Amino acid sequence: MFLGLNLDLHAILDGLSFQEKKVLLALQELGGKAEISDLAVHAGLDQSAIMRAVLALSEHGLAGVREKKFSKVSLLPEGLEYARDGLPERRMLVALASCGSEVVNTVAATANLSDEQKQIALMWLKRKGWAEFTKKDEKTVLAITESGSGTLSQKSTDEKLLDLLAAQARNVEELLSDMKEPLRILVERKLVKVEEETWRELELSELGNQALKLGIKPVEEVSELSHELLTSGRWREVKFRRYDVVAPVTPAHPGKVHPQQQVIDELREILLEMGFVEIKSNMVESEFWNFDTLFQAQDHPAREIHDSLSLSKPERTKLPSPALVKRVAAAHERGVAGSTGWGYKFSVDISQRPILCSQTTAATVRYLASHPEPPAKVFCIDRVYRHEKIDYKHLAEFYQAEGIVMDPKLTLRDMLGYLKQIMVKLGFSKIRFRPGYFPYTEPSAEADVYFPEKHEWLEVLGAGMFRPELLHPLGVKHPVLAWGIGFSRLAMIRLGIEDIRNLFNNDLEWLRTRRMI
Amino acid sequence: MPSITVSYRDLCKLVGKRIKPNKLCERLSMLGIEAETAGDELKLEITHNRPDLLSPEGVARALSGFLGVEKGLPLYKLSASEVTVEVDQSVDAIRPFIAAGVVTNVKLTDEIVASLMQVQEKLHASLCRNRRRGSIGVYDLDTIQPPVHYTTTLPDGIRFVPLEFARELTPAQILHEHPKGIEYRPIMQEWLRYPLLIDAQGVVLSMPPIINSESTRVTSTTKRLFIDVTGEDERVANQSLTILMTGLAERGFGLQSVVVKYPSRRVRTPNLRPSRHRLSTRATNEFIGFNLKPK
Repeated sequence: MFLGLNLDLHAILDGLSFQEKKVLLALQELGGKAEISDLAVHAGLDQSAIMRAVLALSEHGLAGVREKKFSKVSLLPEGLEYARDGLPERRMLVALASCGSEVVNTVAATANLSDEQKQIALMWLKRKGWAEFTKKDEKTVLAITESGSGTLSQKSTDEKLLDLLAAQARNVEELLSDMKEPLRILVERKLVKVEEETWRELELSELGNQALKLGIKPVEEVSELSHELLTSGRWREVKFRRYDVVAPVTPAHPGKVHPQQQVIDELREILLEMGFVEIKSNMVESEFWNFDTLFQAQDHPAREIHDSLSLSKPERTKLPSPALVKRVAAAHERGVAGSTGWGYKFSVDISQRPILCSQTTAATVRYLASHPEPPAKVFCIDRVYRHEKIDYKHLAEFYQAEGIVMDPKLTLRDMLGYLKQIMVKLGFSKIRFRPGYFPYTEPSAEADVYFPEKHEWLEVLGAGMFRPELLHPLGVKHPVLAWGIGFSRLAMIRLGIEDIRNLFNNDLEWLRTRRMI
Repeated sequence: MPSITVSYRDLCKLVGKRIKPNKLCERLSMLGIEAETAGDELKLEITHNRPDLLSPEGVARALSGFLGVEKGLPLYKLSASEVTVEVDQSVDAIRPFIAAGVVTNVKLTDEIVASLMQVQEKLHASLCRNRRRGSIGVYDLDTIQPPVHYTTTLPDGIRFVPLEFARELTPAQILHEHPKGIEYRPIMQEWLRYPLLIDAQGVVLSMPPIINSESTRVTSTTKRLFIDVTGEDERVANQSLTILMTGLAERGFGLQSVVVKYPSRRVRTPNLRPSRHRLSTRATNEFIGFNLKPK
């Protein structure tokens, strides 16, 4: 046991820095107990160095710090001046008693007061009731009062306090209770100041005494291996300073993934885990793939120029095989498999118009057109573009996330199962489905998640079975379920942000201080 | 999505059952209607595929079925009126179709008038594609002398007092001076003649798709309504008319049909016969994953 303690002590001593050892020795020389300021002087260290050393010694248990807070009162420059020359009102009173004149200016001149000091003197003569003021021949004259003449032979308490402080600064706690009021007045006159100070004393502990018995030799340490140390060979002799691995350092800001990208990555991971394969969308898309194949009528308000962003160049895009265009046109005009269609004249010119992709479903449908045979299970997380005025709720460029599953045996119940699985994986436990409507699915559903803290349901997912009007022209003969996540809303919930614009926030300070999800 | 405002009291009255506002909103959302309450007002979001829900009457009809208050297919009595609409060949090139009907035993309250105006406006904006595919006119039938002629006029071929105006204007003037004329004239910019509805005595009913005449205006004392929908899409015209008239039937008014005489055919509108669709039990079960049995 004794051996163990010794080993620990050796390890501690080995870890002490040069300055810490010096302080420990100084403390021993001062009798094992000393005020920090005395210790600093004795060890020859400045304020911050002594504090670091004291902290280290007390953390190792070699010494203990006792501290007491107190209020110190000391003279300010003007107070110091008055302590030496007397308060202006005192000088005025003495002059008034001796010079034989009662006229203010004469008295002031006799007392050798400046204009400013004269004003101060008059004010305090009046406040203290040492003199009375009257007018005589357009001049202000003074007369000593009874209290004034009493004061001539005896200093008032504020003057006594001034003298006391001139000798040395004092603890407020040390002052007698009849000094409290004069102190208040002197503080008000800005002649003295009161400061909070901490008194600290360091005392050797039992462990510290044992350490000193083992013998301590302060050896200068180096904290950096220099060229000079290497070439001279002095590195063999010097002691290298140990690293303090718990010392606070300035914060480092390593690169990290943007918050929105974190949510995208998280969602991507979930979908990959569920067996979905990722596909990407095109930034520029034809109206054919963006709308027509999705059975959105060409004269539908959503297709008007003020909703999606059209391109002036190129003027038109290439369409796929004429047979496919014809089948899509027929679905719009007359419907498929017993449905009625939209009943208008389909225009190939409109189909060819290029726009910035306004929904990722365009990518999904392209995929289906090239993979009409089951099984299919793909998702797309990509940017879409709309003609929106940007505010806290709207962006002109944002992410959508969606996916499809095609399988011969797929049913509406499977669809709800997929939706539920996605939401559970996203961490939502209370879920409900509602009937919904989308132009390219039937039946359609919307899924809400419950937020207990807000007592409300929030819509996060829309889904449905692709309509025959969409599937037949593409040559798909099996049911396809499709879902889409309101990605921005999901990301805002996940990141706890209220302003949608923050999804693209690039302010470094904001990014640095955000927690990773 | 179009949204409509309905009165909570009015909706409950139409359903014939008092439902607590919270419960009502929850049930509505299960019908695919997002609802928000503000006092007596309900703001409802209606999906594009359900123009029949663009009125409180339509929502009430759907709710009654959903809540089991009134089960089965809603059926409406329709009798034949004496009114005919004669279609002139000249409309064919610009706005070829018209559907019309008559509503009798009308008793208009403020709520019914507000609802009628709202459903017109909402149908114009959605199903009728801003009046391009179809536009609606509602008139006091007792100010009209049938048969009604659906014809065309030259831009300065006739004068009448449009709604909200005190003086007679020509069609061309209406397009430049009347707010509705200014708003909707882009539809007509390539037309050389403008559509016109006019009665047997030369009283103008309206200039579709812009404005009705002041003289056929519906008032609180109107007993019988004449309703027309003209348009470039016959199906939209028929659907809009059906939505309007069945909504009024929910208020307890009587419905009557009108004969529309085109130069080469005649049709009776509205057509309220339910359409039939065949559904295979097996395919349905396979699709939705249930095991339903035919009754």
